[in-house]
Amino acid sequence: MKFRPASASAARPVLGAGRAAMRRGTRLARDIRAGKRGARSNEMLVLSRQRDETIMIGDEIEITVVDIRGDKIRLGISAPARIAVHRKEVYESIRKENEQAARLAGEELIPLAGEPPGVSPGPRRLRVRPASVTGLSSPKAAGAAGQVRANARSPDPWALRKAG
Amino acid sequence: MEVRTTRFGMVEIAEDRVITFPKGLLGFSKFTRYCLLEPGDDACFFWLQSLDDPGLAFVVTDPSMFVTNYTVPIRPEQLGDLGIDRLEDAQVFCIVNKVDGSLTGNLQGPLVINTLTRNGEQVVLAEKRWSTRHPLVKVGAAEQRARAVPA
Repeated sequence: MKFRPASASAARPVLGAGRAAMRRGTRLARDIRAGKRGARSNEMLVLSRQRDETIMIGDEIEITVVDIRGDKIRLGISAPARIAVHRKEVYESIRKENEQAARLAGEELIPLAGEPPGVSPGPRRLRVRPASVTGLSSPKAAGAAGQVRANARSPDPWALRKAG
Repeated sequence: MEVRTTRFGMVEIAEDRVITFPKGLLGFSKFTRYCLLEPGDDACFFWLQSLDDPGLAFVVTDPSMFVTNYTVPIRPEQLGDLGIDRLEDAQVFCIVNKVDGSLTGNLQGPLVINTLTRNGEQVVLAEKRWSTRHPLVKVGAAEQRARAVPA
C-alpha cells in the first residue's frame, strides 16, 4: 500500500512513527477522503499517533493520546483557559435545541409566553412592550437569584472562583 | 428605533435596550442584535426578538424562577469577554422550548448577559448535570382549558 497524505499540503510531515502506524493512517485518510468527496469542507489533516505521543496545535495547545482501548481513545488536552474545549455533541445539542425553539416560538407559545406557570392562559395577548434586562417587571426576575453564581460545590475546575 | 417583527408587528425599541450577542446564538451566528419583549405585566416568559430577522424570536425565561439550585459556572476569562466585573451585573436567561406538553429550558446553553453593556453570550456548560431540555412547567392542562374557551 502506498502512502498518500490526506491533506493537500503534501509537504507537511506525517508525525507517525513506524510502518504499521503509517498504514493505519493511510487507511483512515482514505476513509475520510471518501466520506468528504464532493463536499467543499476544509481539508482535514490526518496524523497517526501512538500512545503517549502528542500533537501541538499552535504554540499553546497540546493533545496527547493517553490511552487506547478497543475503539475508545482517551485524549489529554492542555490549552490556555481562554480556549473552550468541549465535546462536539454538546455544541450540537444546544444548536439543535436553539433551532427547534426558534421554530416553536410561534403561535403555539404565544398564549403561554405571558403567563406565570400554573395559571390558565386568558385570551391571546399579542401586545408586547420592550423590557430592559435590568428592569424586568417580575419581582422574582429582578432579584439576585437569576444571576451567575459561583458554584462552590462543583468539582468542575472551571467553576468560578471569585478572587478575594 | 422601530423593529419589524412577524409576531408582534412594529415595535418601538429604545436604542439603549438593544442586546448584542457578538457571537450570535449557536446555530444563529449571523444574528447578533436582539431586544427583550415582555408580553404581560407580570410575565415569567419573555421574547428575545432578533432585530436582524423579523421572524426570529425565542421565548426565554429566568431559570432561577423554576430551578432554584441552578447556577452557571463561568470562567474568569468568559467574564472578561463579556466585560463583567461584578457577578451582580450578570443576568442569566435560558431559551424555552416545548416538548411533549412541557415547557423545557435549555439549561446546558444558558444566555449570560452583562446588564450594564447589554452584551451577551450563549455559554456552553461542560457538566452533564443540566440538560438542553430541563422540564420547567407542564402546559398540557393549561392548554386544554384554553382550547375549551370559545374564540
